[in-house]
Amino acid sequence: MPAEPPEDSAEDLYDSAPCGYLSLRPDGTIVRVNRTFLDLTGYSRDELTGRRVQEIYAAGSRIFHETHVAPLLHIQGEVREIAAEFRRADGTRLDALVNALLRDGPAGAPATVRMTVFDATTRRTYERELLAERRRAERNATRVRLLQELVVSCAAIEHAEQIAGPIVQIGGEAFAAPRTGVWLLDPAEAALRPLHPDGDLVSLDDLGPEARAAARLEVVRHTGEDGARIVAPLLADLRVLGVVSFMFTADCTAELSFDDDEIELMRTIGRQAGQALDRIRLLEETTRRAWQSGFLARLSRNLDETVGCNGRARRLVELLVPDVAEYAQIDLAPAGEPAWRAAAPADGRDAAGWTIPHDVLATVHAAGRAGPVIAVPLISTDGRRATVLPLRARNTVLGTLLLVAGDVAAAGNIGPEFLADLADRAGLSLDNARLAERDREVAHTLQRSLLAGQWPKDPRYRVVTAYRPAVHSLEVGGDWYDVFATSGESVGIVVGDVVGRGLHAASAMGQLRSAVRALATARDGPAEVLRHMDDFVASFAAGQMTTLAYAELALDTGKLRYACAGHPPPLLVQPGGVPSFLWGARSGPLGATAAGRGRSEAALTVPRGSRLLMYTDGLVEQRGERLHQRLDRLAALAAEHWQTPLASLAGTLSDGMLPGEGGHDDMCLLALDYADAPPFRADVPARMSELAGLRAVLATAEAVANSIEHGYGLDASRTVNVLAQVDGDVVAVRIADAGQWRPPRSALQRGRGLALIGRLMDDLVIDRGSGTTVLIRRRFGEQAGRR
Amino acid sequence: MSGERQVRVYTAGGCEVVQLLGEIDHATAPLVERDVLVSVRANTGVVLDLTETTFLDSAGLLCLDRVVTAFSDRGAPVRVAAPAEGMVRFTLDLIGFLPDLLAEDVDSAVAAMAF
Repeated sequence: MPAEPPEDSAEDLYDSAPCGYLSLRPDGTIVRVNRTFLDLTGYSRDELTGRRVQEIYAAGSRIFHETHVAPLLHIQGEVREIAAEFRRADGTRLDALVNALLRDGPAGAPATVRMTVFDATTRRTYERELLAERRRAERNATRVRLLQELVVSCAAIEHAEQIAGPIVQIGGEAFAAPRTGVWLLDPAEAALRPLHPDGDLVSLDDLGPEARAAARLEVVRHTGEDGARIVAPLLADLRVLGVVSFMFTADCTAELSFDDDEIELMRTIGRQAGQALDRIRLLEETTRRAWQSGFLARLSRNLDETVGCNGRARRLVELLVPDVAEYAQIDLAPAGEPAWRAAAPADGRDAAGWTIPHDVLATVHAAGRAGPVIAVPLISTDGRRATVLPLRARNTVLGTLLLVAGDVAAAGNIGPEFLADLADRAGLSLDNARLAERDREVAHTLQRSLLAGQWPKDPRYRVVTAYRPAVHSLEVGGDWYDVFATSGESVGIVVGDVVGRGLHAASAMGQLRSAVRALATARDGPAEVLRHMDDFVASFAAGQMTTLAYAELALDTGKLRYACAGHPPPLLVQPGGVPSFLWGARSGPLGATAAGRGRSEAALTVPRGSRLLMYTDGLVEQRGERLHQRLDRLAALAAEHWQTPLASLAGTLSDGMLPGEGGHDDMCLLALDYADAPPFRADVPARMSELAGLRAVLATAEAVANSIEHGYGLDASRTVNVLAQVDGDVVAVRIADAGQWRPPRSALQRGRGLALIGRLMDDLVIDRGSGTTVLIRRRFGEQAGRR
Repeated sequence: MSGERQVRVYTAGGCEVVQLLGEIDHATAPLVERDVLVSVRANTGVVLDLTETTFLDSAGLLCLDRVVTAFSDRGAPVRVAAPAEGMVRFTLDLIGFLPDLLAEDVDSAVAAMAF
């Protein structure tokens, strides 16, 4: 058996044991201590012997010893693996594990406590690190959760102001910040605008941490007398949209030692909030754009539907109130025209209208001709704000648009760019209306001058014409009519229709009208005229598909030659009201390829007293009705009114065919009355007895007087139709009025006129239908004068 | 009527059939003309079907004439289907539309062009 090492004596084993040994009295007084303990703690044996072990415990362990270790020792007799902390001689701490055993002494002798002390420094460090790791993991989990909550809350917000709530919450929960402030960047003011009511507007050149964080795009720490702030910028793609400031009071400043992770968290919060703000900004921008384009589209449509420059200006101000402004005023002063104003609302405190000072007006005009539209602010004497914008088009300022924004519902959607766009469109729309008015005026003037004509005066026929423009169109059409003498003995009558509207159609109409006139006097007959018109149109693009009816009436014989190029047929109403359409000699419109071009003509002899009607399709075309039914209706109307005097016929027919305001197309109508018979003519011998021959004249005068007095009630605007015919030795006179027959006013007058006529003439027939027709006849010569 | 398509094109019996719908007047004729000219290839025969046309004014007639001319110029035979009882047949007769180009309905128009 090997020899024991010399040092393994009991004494040496005790002193150099791998743990500290202490022998204590029950009250803790150190009786004996081994060297290992002295080495661990740095005390000398003398320093410890006689002192109580409690005195070398660190504060926490001392209390633990008194309250736990000592009582347990007394009850159980031992304690194991108590973590204790000793104070070393140099003041540092010794982490240790302690076992203690209470041993009763020999009888009568006091009990002793044997205590072993193991150095546990490494183990405790490890434990502490473990704990710190766990705490950090917990904190990270909390942060991840808070960050997730922030992302969710940010996704739910719809207005930039709502961003404050989630940020303030995370400031409290993640950093225990007593206060968290959020500022949003206001680019117009170059400042940060606080979202909390007691915050101040912070200029971007401020020296405080908020402005610095916004300028540096980085988290800024700041410690001052009143406490500390950590400010993170709210960023979206390196653009600052605001800042968040976590504010800590002075008394928690000591604890304010945030590590890199926490600073990173603040940065992340700033980015999350920034992205949310960016999304909201985009959303608001989209909403605003949608509202703006919707409003402008509505505005344009409404303006387009409104006629005339002044009408549009009136409509415009009405449309701007109340969405865009609480008061809107347009002052128009186009060059060379009188100034004109439209304002809305007409009542209210702006009823008197705003007067725009000359300097403002000059600024608007100077800035307004070209380049971007510039709004000029204007402040009234009572401090109200208005904006003055130029209304311009084609490098001219037409006038101004003044807006008093006030407190309008759509204020959030209105910005300078929108107002500029609005003024631009309004200016153009007003100018277009003005130009259209001018064009229309020119076209109307042209049309009037083209259609005005001196009809040849000839007692053998009478002509009336009527032109009625389309109801819903502002442009002139290309309809025309014309009457001219082709020779001494015949008259040419034409009605035509050029396709299209406006100045273009009106000028084409003028050329075609002249061409027909020229051809009609030079060529022989309607078919020839149409053939040459085809040639004319072939060299003249505008007249393609022109329809035209042309007729020539020989005045002495009543022979009528006519031809229709795609035109509705002329209507002949013979005496007695017998209507017939002239369906002969039809061919296609001028210049048409899909319609017949074989020009022919038809001829017939019309009896005296006949009426010829020529018209354009506007009179007979009606949506939803068949054309042949419309033609039938026209024939019936014309027959019904065959005795209606020519002067009122055109009105009667167009009213009858187009009840209400009128048709969809222009309409023109030409009516020709072929005089009944050679007019009554007499050479009266200067003998008293010959007066008898003038009896018919006297009787006629009486009948006309009757018509005037009883038929028309002395209405001087009406006419009485007198037709006299001499047939051999019989003179017949027809006196017709279209009035309501009224009874004579007094018994004395009753029938006096008729009685007189009865005595003067052989026959008297009175026909009261629509109006009154009186027929009187007398035979002259040998068999005459029965009375 | 504005906004609705007034021109429909389909193929029948080897021909392109162009249906013209509704009112063809001053307001719509230029659009109808453009629509017809761009949507019809006119490689073979073309039938312009006016059965569903409710109104034709002078501008509508001009449009029809120009379309017929354009297709004829491209060498495509053209027929116009307009039933005797339709709303616009009378108008076509009135302006002297060539009877040879007219047919009672699409089928007879197609048959008339049988190659």
